[in-house]
Amino acid sequence: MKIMVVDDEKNILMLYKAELEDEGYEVIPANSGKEALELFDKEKPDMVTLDIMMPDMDGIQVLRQLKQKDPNIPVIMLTAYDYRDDFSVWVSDAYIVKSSDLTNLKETIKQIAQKFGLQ
Amino acid sequence: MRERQALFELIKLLELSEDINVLLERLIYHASELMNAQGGLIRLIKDGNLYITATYNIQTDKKVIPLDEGICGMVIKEGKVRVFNKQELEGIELDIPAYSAICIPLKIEEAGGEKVIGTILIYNKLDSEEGLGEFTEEDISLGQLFYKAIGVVWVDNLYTKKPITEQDINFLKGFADQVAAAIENAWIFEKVEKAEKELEMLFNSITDLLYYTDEYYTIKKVNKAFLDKTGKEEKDVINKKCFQILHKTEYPPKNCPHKKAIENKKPAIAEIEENFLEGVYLLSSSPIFDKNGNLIGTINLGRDITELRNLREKIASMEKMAALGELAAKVAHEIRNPLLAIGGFAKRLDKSLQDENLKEYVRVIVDETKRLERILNETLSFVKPYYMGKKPFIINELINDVVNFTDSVLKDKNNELIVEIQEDCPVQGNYDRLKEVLLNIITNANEATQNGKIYLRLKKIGRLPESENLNEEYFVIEIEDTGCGISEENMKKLFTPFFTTKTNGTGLGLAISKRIIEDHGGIISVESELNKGTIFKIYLPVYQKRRSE
Repeated sequence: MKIMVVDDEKNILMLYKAELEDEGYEVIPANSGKEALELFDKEKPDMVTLDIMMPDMDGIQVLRQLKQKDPNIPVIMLTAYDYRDDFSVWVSDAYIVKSSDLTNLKETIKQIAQKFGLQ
Repeated sequence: MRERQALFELIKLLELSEDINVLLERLIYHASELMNAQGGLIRLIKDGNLYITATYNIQTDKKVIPLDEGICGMVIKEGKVRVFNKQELEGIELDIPAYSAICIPLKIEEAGGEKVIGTILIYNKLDSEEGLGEFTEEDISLGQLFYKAIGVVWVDNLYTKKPITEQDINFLKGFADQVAAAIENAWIFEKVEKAEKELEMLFNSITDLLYYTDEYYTIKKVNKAFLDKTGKEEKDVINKKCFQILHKTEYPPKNCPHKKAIENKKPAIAEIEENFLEGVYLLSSSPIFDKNGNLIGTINLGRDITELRNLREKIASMEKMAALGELAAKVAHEIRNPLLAIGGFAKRLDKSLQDENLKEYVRVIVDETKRLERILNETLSFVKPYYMGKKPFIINELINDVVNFTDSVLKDKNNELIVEIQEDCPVQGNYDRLKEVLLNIITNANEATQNGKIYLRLKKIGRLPESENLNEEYFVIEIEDTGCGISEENMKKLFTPFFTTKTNGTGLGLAISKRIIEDHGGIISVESELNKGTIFKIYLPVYQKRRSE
């Protein structure tokens, strides 16, 4: 299963890549919203994790465009701050507050994969 | 000398008397007796008529006569003493058949000059067998001496036929002076009494604490609000020092405006927090000076501004929170990402390292990062309104969950958890948030207790006594420990954000807990005794399934 991880911080991309690869996923890191949209077309990932607060294009804009490209793509929103009262994030499939403990993220990926019938 | 003695006694009577009607009745009685007359009456002007106000030994239907009627009318009009003989009285309508009379106007001194206020009448001298007495020119001129007095005296020798002598006139003169003075005094007394009553009413209607003191802080007068607030009676307050009553101290407090007013001889105002009166007061103190400019005391007004101040503090804290919320979003982003990277990689390191020493170092990094993240989460969840979905569930499940969770923590301090659940209590709420509250309070209880017991009780209690919602049924979760307790001072700040007694606490645990409980329509309260223990009570509404019509 191919997961695209979008975050503006390189260190976090590196961590997610390493951790998710350990879980047996193929990981495509994207360092900005713009890069994410380009890579999405090229790599056709099965799932996307998306940081909300990013310079130039923020995660919510990216989310909207991704869902326009493919309404069925599962997207997990990751954030440093609780934005759950923002209606626009409701179209995402899951919402996780970032933590050094990645258990929650890994669990959520598994659940969503199951829900979407991904391998 | 008989007259002088009688007059002396009469004057004493007059001075003692406060009720004007009693006074006049006594006057006319004494006047008639002393003159050895049959009787007399006093008429006073009221609403443009002459009213009989006091009589002695006279029956008359003419209770009210016009101002210009009869000899009284004449006297009032002329403002002079008149002595009448039998001939002069013929053809004049009188209260009784009369042979002679002396009428004296009752006058008082006023700002604009003299004012006639009524008449005095005495008649029928009884101690002589002589014929009908007639007043001479001399009598009349003596009668003029009554001019300054405030009365009309009418003496009639119907039976005695003895003329009114100079002695009688002299007596009457002195008597009338006394009458005038006494009546004036009585009127002034009435006015003063009325003014005093009004002042008293005004004083007591003021809902702020109001009190006078002398220059040595001795309370001289207090209003009703003062007594109500201090719960004392007037006798327990008057002539006591104000600081003893209000602050329960032996000296005036340093920052008391009352002290400043006395020391600087200028009005002073300040906010004072008085634990004993349970509130914050705005106390203004103004010095009182005598004619020579010497300080003789103070008048003090204390207003309970507790609510106002609470409101002000609330607004200030809301503003603080809003600013903090904005800041938090930025800080969260700037701090959480680095923490995530540090903690995440440290964990990876831990996994791949073989050396136990190195592993231990790395675990320190992992644990400390976790702690920083926890502090960050607590701060954020406090400053930002959080999402709270509510679902009905049985609170008992949550309690069991919490009990399992806290098991190991309690063992660390050798505390025993005793759970007492009476019955199932359904609640409409957010499971995770309520769990946070219970964990928070149990953790606190555990930290305050060593080798002790922690009780966790659940019971239904019916309605809350102060609740507006009369139909709502409540249950209570009590968490009681046998720990060190909370000091009275800390008790006040317990639910205040960022207040903590722990070395590594954020001071947000209880503040968040309170907010969560209130968001569930509940109440959280605490009672504590130092070195005995603390009991937290969480009241929450019992979830009622919506009744199907």
